[in-house]
Amino acid sequence: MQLRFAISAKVVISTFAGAALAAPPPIQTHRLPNGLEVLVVENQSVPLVTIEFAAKNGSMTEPPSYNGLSHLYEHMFFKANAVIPNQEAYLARMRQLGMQFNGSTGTERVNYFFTTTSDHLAESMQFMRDAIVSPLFEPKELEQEKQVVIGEIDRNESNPYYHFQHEVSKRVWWKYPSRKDPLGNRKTVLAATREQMKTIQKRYYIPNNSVLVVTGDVKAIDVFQQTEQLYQKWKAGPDPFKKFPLVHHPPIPRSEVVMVEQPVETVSIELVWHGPSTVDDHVELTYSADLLGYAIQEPSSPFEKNLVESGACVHAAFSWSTQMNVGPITLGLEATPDKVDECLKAAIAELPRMKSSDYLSDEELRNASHRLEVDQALEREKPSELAHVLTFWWCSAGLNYYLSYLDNVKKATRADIARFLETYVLGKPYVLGAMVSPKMATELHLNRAHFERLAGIGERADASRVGADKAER
Amino acid sequence: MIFPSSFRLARGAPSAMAGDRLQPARFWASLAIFVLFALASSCATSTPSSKTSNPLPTATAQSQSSADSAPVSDGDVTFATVHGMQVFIKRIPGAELVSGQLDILGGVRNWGKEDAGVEQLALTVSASGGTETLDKDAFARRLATLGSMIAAGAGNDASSFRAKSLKENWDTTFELMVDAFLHPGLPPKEVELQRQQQLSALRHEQEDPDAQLALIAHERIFKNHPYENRSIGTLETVNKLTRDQLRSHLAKLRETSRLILVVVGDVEPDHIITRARDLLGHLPLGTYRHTPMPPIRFDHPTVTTVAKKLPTNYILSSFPGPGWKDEDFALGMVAMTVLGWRQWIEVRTKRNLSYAPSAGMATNAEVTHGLLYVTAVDPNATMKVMLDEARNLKERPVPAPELKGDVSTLVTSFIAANETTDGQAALLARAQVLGGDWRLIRTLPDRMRAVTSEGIEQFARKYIANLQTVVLGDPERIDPALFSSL
Repeated sequence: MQLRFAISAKVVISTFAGAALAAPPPIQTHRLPNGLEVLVVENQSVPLVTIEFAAKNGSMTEPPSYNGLSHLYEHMFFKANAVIPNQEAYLARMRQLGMQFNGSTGTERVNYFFTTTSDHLAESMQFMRDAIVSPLFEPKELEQEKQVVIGEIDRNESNPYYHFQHEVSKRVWWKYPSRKDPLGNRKTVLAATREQMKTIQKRYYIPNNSVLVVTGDVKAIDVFQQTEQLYQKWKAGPDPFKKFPLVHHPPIPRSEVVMVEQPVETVSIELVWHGPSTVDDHVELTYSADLLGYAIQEPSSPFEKNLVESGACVHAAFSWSTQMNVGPITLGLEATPDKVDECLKAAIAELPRMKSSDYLSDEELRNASHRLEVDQALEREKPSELAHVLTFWWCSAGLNYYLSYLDNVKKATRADIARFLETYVLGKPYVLGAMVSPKMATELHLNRAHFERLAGIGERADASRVGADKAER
Repeated sequence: MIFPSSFRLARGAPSAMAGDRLQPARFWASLAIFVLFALASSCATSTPSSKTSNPLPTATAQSQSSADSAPVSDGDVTFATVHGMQVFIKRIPGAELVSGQLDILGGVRNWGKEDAGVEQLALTVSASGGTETLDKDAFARRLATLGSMIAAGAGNDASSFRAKSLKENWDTTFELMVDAFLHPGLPPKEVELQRQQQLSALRHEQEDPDAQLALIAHERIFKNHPYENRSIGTLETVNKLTRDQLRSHLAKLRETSRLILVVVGDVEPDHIITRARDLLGHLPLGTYRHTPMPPIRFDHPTVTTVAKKLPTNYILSSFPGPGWKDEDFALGMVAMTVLGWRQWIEVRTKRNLSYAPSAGMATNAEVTHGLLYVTAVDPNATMKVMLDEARNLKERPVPAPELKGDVSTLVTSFIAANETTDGQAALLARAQVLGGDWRLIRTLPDRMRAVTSEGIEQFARKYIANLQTVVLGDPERIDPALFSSL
């Protein structure tokens, strides 16, 4: 048995060509016969261990009738299973093991993590296993937890920015809005059944759709041995994305403005485009997207100078989100009510400049990739958070993408950046969201027509199209 | 997310966002927190100090002498005074990154009602606007080339410059940080830019219910207290601040009697001390002397309700807590952790009344306070359970297994807060600034482990009383008698 681990465990080290940084600790990997991938990063700086499990699940797998149920499932993970009779006992065991814990649900990943002192490794591994493979979804606990999740929705809906993001998102992902909405809605949460939880479990909580990451004060060989024993009876299932493939998000048909009125004190604006994916034919443009994003967030960049230092905007940011199934490109702006026009005009004027060959200097591009490299060092410094980073990349891009990421970003050129902008941004349809207070809308005429004029969007969108006959049912 | 990301009072659960966007790590983000765990921590890996032969001086004692002291080592921490400035170095062999924090003592003592916000604006402009010899762009490019970060901000008791870099770039990064403190360019354009961002932060407080609740609570419990004049200032004061005010305010801060430097990483203590002497040792000693903050006291419970149409009600109850050097400090942390777990079980698990019940202590100031927090659509039913649990803590012993487990979770949180060099620097500085002795951090785990059930009952009886409760939501749903019953 021991020999098998030694043979099958791989050590993968990402290459950091020309880096001034120390060689990062290796990510040691081991794939179980059932397909479960196990990643270990040893770091003995403090006597802690973090155990994190993630499945490729989340809103990308949710048709409207399931919208929000990956999230409800995440809550049920911390309740009764074949070994633990109920949530009280579950919490008691976590306290006994001195655990910090949490979970999160996103569009492409659901993750669960425990951090505790390293003397509790074996018991915590077992505790994690029981929660993964044998949740009971007890009807009483399910009904109770629905109310807790509704409480979470209440809190989201208490925040103006939730409404802003939600309304913009509905337009950007107009045909399949549920696939980009991890929180879901009250109706589906309240109607959720135990059978639906079991469907999610059977379809996505299978070893060949999951990763287990262990970081901190551990020895990889010990972790691999334990996972072999703990998960040997966990059966693989059919690839969920073959039978239930990801939807194809159709392009935004034409640019449109969405207005959101909330009790806010400043004006928020977002311009959102469909961007590349980590798994499609344009994957190389994801690296230039990130290089650009890093370069222009420096205070000395032309983007910052023209938009923020000029006094036009209070804040400005431009970024692409790493996603397997269409990452959005977002230009986010904040302006004082009296400078909305100035800010938005400056931002729109900046976009074509960003593709010019003299927009960013060689030094700025070098610095951007160096920043990225240092950010990875910052991630490594905190093993408990490194686990989240690794599961994120594993689910949304794959481990190989992550391991070669820095090298690929360093290879990106100005021409690649220009191609990224031309392919996804310049002249492409987008959704412009603006959030203002009712008072601003009335007194300063910050309404849809105003933003359409500012952005040169001529045709008023028909809001009734969204979520209606063309949307997924 | 199984836990809310704000007001994570009881369990210090790691932050995880519901969205997928992976943000670049930003080290100072971990410092901008409100509550117990990341603020009061200890390094479980530090060397025990049981055989210290040279007790290290406290902040108060050191600030009165201009003489340099020879470096004294206590485990992995070395201490020296450089012309009255206190310097602490924690060496971590093999660490890839170095973090430093230059604390400037005084906090709210340095400004008044009319100029609140001045130190915050002065420091942020200093950190971002370049220096007399490097303009803003050159300064930013230099940092970008190094991959280093420098930030600054003001607080109730002390302000700080913070820097983090790769080990080999520390000396240059430290020089840049000191240059920003001593010779900031303060370009008028940057003053306006940072002013707008400070005003924006103030405006955002009114948008986010948690931020608004915290602000209302702060105004309630620190009314007529020096902390009333928050470091961020007000829309009115920040709008009126001039560049000359910033310049003269900064000049007041440049005296060694009010400086504490903490550096954590794989560094040579002697080298750090030499560099500190070279770059800061010429400053005047000044006359800064620590004056204790007055305590807060309440002789009866109150409830303040602010009407806001929301899907749920936001509730925060506060009470004065023990200070950093108080014997009850560790007791309070453990007691509130026990209470936090019980609130979770009774309010959420058993009754599903809320997604976000919690309890804890805010220990990021010399004057601490305990907190009970919840959001609920049925505030009366929820608050009754919360208050009953607080009363139970006064009357019923905590079973030994429960106490042991809760202390373990707390210790895990403490160690997690020490994973990074900046985390260790911040905590060491905090113990020194707020408690007058950095070793309060080192001894904290043992003091927590020594807490008994009897101690928790005593703490609850002594402190959890005369709650000052604020509610943001629907006043019609609040029973004032219930909310002011403890």
